[in-house]
Amino acid sequence: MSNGPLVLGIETSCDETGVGIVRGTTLLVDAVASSVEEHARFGGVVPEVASRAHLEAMVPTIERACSEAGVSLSDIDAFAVTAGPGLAGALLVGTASAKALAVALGKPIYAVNHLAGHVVVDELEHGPLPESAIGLLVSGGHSSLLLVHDDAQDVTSLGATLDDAAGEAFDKVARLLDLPFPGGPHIDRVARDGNGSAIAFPRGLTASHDMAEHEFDFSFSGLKTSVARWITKEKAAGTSINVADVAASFQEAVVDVLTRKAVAACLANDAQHLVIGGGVAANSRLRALAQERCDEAGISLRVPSPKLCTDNGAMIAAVGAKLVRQGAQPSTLDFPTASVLPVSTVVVRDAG
Amino acid sequence: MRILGIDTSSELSSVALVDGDSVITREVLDGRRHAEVLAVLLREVVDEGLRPELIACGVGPGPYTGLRVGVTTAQVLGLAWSVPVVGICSLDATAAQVSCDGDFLVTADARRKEAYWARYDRNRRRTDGPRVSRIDELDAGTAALPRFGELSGTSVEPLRPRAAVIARLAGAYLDAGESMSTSDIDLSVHGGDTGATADSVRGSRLLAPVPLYIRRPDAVAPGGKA
Ligand SMILES: [Zn+2]
Repeated sequence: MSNGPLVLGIETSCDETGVGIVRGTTLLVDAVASSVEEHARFGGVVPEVASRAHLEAMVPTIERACSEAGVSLSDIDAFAVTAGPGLAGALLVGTASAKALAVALGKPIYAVNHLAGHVVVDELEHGPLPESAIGLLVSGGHSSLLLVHDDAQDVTSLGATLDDAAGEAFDKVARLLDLPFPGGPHIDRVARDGNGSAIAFPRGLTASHDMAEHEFDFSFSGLKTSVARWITKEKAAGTSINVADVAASFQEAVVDVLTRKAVAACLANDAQHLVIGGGVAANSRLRALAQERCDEAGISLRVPSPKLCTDNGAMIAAVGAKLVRQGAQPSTLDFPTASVLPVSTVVVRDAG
Repeated sequence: MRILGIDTSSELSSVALVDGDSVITREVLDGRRHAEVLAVLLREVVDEGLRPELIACGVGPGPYTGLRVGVTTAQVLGLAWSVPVVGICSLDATAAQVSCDGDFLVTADARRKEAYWARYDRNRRRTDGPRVSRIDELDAGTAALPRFGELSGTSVEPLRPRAAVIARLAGAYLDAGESMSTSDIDLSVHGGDTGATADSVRGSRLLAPVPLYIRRPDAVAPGGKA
């Protein structure tokens, strides 16, 4: 059993109501209530529906987390909550809840950056990050490359998507192929029977003239358009679409760019570790290609288990516990939420 | 009984600890900062008084974003302190501040040129509502009634739901032996609330601590199948 502060983390930046409890770097519980099925019929996350679902799920999820971890709320040493980035109305439900706990129990609160959580969560499974690491965060909401220094309070953004997030591209292409929302798991499944090099879809921002300015940025909207055009053209020609080949070729284009840039970012920054987080990290081809390329480059690849890759409260608790261990100053009760929050802001301290 | 009242259904963030004749109130008027100020106000009230035995929360109707801050806070405080939480229609709390010889309306800003409203008799008992509609679409009889609250059309500072009133109403209803409305507000259908939450509370005064949304979320499924 490890020691360390007992921290409860709350995450409500998108459509998952997450409540996690950690002791130091030991995960005690990761309780998540998802409203994804309620969004499915809209083909994307509806902010107001997500906010309503968070409110309804919050108290039951906190109760479930405490009972599964065998702790009572009064045992908690500190609370942590996602302050941003994310859906404004959804973030407010989480921060209001965490603030209420902090007031009721007289304990400190840390308002943390969601993106840092996606990297630090890996410590719960694979131990402390010994030195600087590169984080590749890919989900329906974000696609970014970060440099995380060993002290997680120092995070630098290396690049991000200029248009669609990677997960968004999966959703949009799934819709083109008549596959259900969310698209990621369905494309992954269908692509297993397809040939990833059947169709040469474009690799966004990899041409030399783009690399000068956007070495570590991504762009996926051109890829989506290219898939749409290809399908339209084939249909017009009366050719039947091989869904498996389209899915596999699209997926290959995405993961090729992601892994190529992530490994290049490691090498450029002397980082020995690559951590992949976000819902797209569950993609089997991404994991396989990342492993292959990290092995070639002598980089250690750290990917949390799928449940910790998607949004959850444990990742927020993990950041909170790290901050407590470092003696970081807690946030004041008036801290705001920030739907746009730069990755370099790991902790939102106060209203100023 | 010591009752903590909370209301964030209007531009006012209002917190009060009421115990008999003793009242500690903290309020901030800023419709965009409920989430920032509410916990600060709460800590001041809690530090000054004893832990409450009951939490009473204004459940709207009102703009959702602010409303949810208060309702979430009330629910989680109840969990953390192991004290019961009840809801009060926020329009009732505005009505309780009105003195009027006959029937009247209480209104709250519902945005999009619409108002949340409820009708009260001279004893401030709700006889219709809460509902949402455009003020200019009310039937002539209703439209002719005196209006109080937001969108009341007067130049004076509008009456707003106050936490101390919420707490007092909750105490009075409990003393009168009313039980909490457990009517099945089916929030599991988040996309489909077309007014069922309000229908289910008409006639009830002591409510479950969940928001009265009344309107369905703005969301349209692809192909228009909402
Ligand atoms: Zn995320």
